[in-house]
Amino acid sequence: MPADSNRREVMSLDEFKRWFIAELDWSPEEVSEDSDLIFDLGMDSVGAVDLMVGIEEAVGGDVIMPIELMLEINTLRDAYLQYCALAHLPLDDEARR
Amino acid sequence: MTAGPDENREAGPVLTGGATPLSPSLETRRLHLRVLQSDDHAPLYRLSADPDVTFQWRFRGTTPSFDDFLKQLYPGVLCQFVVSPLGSREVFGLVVAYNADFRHRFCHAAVVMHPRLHRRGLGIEAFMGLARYIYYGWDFRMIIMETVGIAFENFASGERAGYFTVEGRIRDQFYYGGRYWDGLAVTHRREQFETVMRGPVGRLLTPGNHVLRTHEDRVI
Repeated sequence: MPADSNRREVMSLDEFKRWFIAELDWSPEEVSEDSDLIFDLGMDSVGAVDLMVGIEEAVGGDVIMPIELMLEINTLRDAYLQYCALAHLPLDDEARR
Repeated sequence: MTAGPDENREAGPVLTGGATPLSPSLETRRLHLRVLQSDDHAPLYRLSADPDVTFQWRFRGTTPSFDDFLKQLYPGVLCQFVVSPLGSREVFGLVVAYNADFRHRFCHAAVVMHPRLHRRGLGIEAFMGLARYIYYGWDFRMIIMETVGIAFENFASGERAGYFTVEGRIRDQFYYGGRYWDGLAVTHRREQFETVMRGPVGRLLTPGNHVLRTHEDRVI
């Protein structure tokens, strides 16, 4: 089955916030879209791994979050935007495993 | 016969399948650990002098000559790899295993990454790639890391998550930025590696499907 067909339905921003709070152990119970992940929410490298792995799993299709998308993420809103980007970018057939 | 780049990439230290099943992988999900070559020396020298790196790496703020830097790059090293993004030779950082003790079966390790990559998870991914290589190739029981409190803050939650154990702490050992910071000795034991790799974090060392991008991974 093509990996694209394994991708999941894209969450809305509100759904993503609820997912963020429920999925990430380090998330406080209340977050704002403008919360800075590092400075406001205390994300460290291990927290960043949780977030990237979580986003990849939420997108489905065993998609890899590219490094340049990871580096665009500073706030929760950024995380949502890069999640959406990842969910919509086509797969690279030449690089496919 | 050599296996292709997409073969033999599995989470655990024991690799199976492919044409060369005994080859340990040096690829992670996003990164490639590659052997240090002469054209990496200058980027690493610049990294060692970066204000956000130097006090936490081996030179602790001093500025050795390029020749002295090179002389200190290899002694005591068991293995070391430049960290690059997959498909690129860009220098993201360096992972090093050193001061191996074969009688008591442990070694030390260090990770240095470009400051722009701090708290992004790539240092963890690079370290896990190194740990897989170490535990695959040597019957070591643990990897020991010595770190400064200010650097430890970049990955401190890993203790709660079971990545490692803080075994020792010297209070106020290091001066930096107008205050003293603790020195910490941290162990990452083989069983911790295997446990962590069986969970979601094991994904860091597995292949996946790349998306089509419009530009290359160039961040430095």
